[in-house]
Amino acid sequence: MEFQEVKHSIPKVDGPGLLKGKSAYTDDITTDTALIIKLLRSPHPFARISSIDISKALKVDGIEGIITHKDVPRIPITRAGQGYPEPSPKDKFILDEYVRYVGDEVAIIAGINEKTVQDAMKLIEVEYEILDPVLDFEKAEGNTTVIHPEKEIYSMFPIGLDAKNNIACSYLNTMIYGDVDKAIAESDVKIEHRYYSQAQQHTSLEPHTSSAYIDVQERLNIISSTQNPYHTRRIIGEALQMPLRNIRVVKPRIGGGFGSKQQIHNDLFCALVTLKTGKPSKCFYTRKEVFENTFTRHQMRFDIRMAADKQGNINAIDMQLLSNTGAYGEHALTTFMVAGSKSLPLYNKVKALRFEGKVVYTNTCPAGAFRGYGAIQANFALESAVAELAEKLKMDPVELRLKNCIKEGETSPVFKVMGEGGEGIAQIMESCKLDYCIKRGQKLIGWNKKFPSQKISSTKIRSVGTAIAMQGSGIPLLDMGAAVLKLNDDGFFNLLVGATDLGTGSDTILSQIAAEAIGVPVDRIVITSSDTDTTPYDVGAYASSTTFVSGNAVRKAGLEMREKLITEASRVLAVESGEDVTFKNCIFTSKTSDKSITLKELSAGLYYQYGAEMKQLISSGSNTSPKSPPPFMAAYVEIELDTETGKIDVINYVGVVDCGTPINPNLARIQAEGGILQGIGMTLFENVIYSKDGRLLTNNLMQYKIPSRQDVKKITVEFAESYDPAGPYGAKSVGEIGIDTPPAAIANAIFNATGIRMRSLPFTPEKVLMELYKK
Amino acid sequence: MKFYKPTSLPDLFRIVNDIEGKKYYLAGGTDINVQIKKDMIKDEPVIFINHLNELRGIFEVEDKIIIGCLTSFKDLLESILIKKHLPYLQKSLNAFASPLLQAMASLGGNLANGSPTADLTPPLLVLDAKLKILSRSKMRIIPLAEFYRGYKQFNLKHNELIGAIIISKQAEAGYDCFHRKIGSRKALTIAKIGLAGLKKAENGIIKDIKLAAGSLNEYPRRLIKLEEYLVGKSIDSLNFTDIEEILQKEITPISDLRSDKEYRWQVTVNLLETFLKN
Repeated sequence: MEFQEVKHSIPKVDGPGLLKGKSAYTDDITTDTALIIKLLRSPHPFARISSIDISKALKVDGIEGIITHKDVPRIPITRAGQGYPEPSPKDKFILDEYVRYVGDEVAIIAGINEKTVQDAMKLIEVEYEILDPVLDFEKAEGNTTVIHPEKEIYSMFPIGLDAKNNIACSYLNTMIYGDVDKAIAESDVKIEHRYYSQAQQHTSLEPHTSSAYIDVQERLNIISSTQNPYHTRRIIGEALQMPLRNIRVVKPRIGGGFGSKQQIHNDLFCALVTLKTGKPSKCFYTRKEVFENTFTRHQMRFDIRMAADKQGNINAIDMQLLSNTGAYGEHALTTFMVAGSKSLPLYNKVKALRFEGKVVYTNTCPAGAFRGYGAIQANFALESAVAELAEKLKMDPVELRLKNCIKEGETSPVFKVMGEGGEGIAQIMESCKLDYCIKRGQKLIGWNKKFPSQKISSTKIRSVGTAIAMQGSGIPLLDMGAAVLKLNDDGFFNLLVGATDLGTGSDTILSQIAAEAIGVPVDRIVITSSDTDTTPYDVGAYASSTTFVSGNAVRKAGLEMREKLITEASRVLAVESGEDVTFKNCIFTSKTSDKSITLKELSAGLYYQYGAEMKQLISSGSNTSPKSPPPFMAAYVEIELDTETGKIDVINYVGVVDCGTPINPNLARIQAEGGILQGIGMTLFENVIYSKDGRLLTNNLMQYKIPSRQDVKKITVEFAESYDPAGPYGAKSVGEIGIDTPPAAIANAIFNATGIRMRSLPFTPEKVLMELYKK
Repeated sequence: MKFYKPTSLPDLFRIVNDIEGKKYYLAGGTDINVQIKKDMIKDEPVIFINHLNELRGIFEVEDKIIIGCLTSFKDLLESILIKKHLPYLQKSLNAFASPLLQAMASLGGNLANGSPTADLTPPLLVLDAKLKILSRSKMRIIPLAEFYRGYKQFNLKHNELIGAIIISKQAEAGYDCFHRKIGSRKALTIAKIGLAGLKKAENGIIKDIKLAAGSLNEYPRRLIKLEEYLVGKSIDSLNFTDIEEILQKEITPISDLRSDKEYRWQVTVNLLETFLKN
């Protein structure tokens, strides 16, 4: 299909400004007079505050306020930043007498500068009653320690919250299709294994930052590095019992989020301080706080049983999952459900399927949203298991996948049963080029020559591995996004969207979609995004929603604007109907007469010259969809394994992606590449280590290693020619799919190199070498 | 905190003479600034020296290469002199940090920081590098191997500093050279193991061998006992049980956040075996 503006790789609209170092981020644009806020944090993984004395600290010159649990409303909330009613348990108070993990907030301290606040912090006297923590998530259920003994916590609808047993939510007896036990028993070949994935950190470049001030209308203004300003506004209103009309939330540029900024972090602290003092305030986290006191990926344990007949038809999959939500239950249920709903449909020809399990509390850093969102963890387990099954069947794993994977025009029973937090919606795959992706990637990596491995020296083995993946495009009939377009004189348009660009490039691709829909060059679009006062609602940037959900809203607004323009042009050109008018190169021309008018002239006329016909042209669109067309991907990795050191080098990572029409191929590519890189990090580098007494030891970028540019040699991303009729100009979303495959693909490559099956992430050289010696 | 900025080399020694206690010399600052930020250096005086250009440069003096203590890793990586005479040393420099830090960090600082994991110390140890140690009235030359006396303990008086590093132009000549840094990733990483070796063999018999290890003891050091054992041995019939037994007395690998002692031990043995056999 031919497009003028979309499917073109234009540079990011905010690229040059950011490169030139313009003030753009929350910390840059906050007033210098803002009070600085720091948090006194718990040194214990589980304790009750028996007394807290702030009198000495309050006397420090320059201290403007100290807030403890005695001073805040006792309203249980969830900081998840999700739709409403929220599917996460309401189990968090702004401050509480209990502290549930090392770093849990004890007091909010505000003063004129950082040093003053730090000096005061040292003078706060806290007595703790130290309680036995639960640090091992496999021992959490039914433990004698109850992490949430408080009576007030609740869930907004049944999610299986059972706080007495440390269960944040459970999902049982629901995702059952056919008779799994019977189908497995009757199959020729079966496997059963357990897999573990770790609590990865997002490591976005910009630490979590918020600031607050009271404006001239005496409203609370929050500037925050949030992925979802509207949810942030709602949660602040709920927690502080304020009418939403008194709150404005603005998101400036964000230096990466990857899901970590979907949650509420320091917004409530800033709001409290500014409401109490009347002064602007600011809270920026240190890197240590980002590591210890924001959120991580959910640590998970999968027990998988899978069975097939001798011909390699997969008959049954049974997936049992235990997930660790840490001290609080943000995204506990939904990441859990995505683990099933965005992995199991890949193999839609099974006769029987079961997916169930529990999410437990522990006294560790809370888990939350993170790119991949359960799907990457499940992909590791599922795609490792498929490879283990192929091995047992003596079948090429590529062939096994081609035989069993979902194809265009097909569906899976999972879509209807499982949504995010509740029931899902059945859907047919109107675009699915997964089989093409598998075959194309196989060629690009040179699978037939390289599978399974080659010894290239006495200490080095090269091998290949593969995995396939799916994600979604927003949450069907829960996610909604909206856009407004406004025509200005000189013939340009303001595009107002609630959608949140967190470095992803959504401001750019939404501008391209608007330009395509109106029929003007993209430089005629000026975008403003993510301000609860001036831009329309959008759910925010998560669940791979923006391109698909917000993109369609922008398209609707654009088409409506085009219609309005043609109506006005028809009147000015004195033609009978809009059908007589063409709009090209910013000129309206009548087909029947030779009369024409430029967009510039028309827009000036509408502002200044058309008398009674003068008007402001505004169009809007809002969008939600019963569909969430999954992007698909086939990945192939070539590794070099050093038997001397256990070290694994990624030589080449091939990802062939079906995301429908890539609205901006360059930006889609870097989304896929960035995801792959972050997935490789989780697989090989990002080790999470707690001390025996519950402190996170890998709490800085010195100890917590993410891959450097030198560690990944080549990443090859290609897009399948694909068009999803439900997407804007055929597009599906692409923000998360890239991250899903590295754990399984690399695990499978390690097996192909050595015969060793790695079932616990990450695969550090220490673990690999130990396994090599065990063998 | 007190900072000094000497106007000249004599001024530096005057300042240094007057400060009895512990003090820090700030050259590239890549270690010291981090330590100041982390409150590891709080009260001790810091003396800026990076502007004292007499202490910078790479010179050829008779049969020696003399490297001023302020010389950066980048200078060394780009030096034609080093390339000509000490290509092994030059290659080893790539293991160090990242291009940004290579441009800032000085060789003298890297040695004086005394980190057990210092990347360049093992190669310098096997090259029999010497240190020219300066004070107001005296100059002495000691082998690098005698510089370290324990964890961050140095053979250095209160009024002395490392002025230059001296390496024989012939230090590498005729040797099989080996250097491996094992880290968590390829750049910007602290070594789990650093191993350097020079070996000379004739007709399959080891004639001369020098080995040094980093990250495996309180400070980087030569593996003298192992060297002594290996001289005269036939490469084809090396007894690795004996070698491991001696190695056990020479290194003390530990478990920490970066790695564990079993891994450090096994990989050291593996690397050593590769080096000795090839």
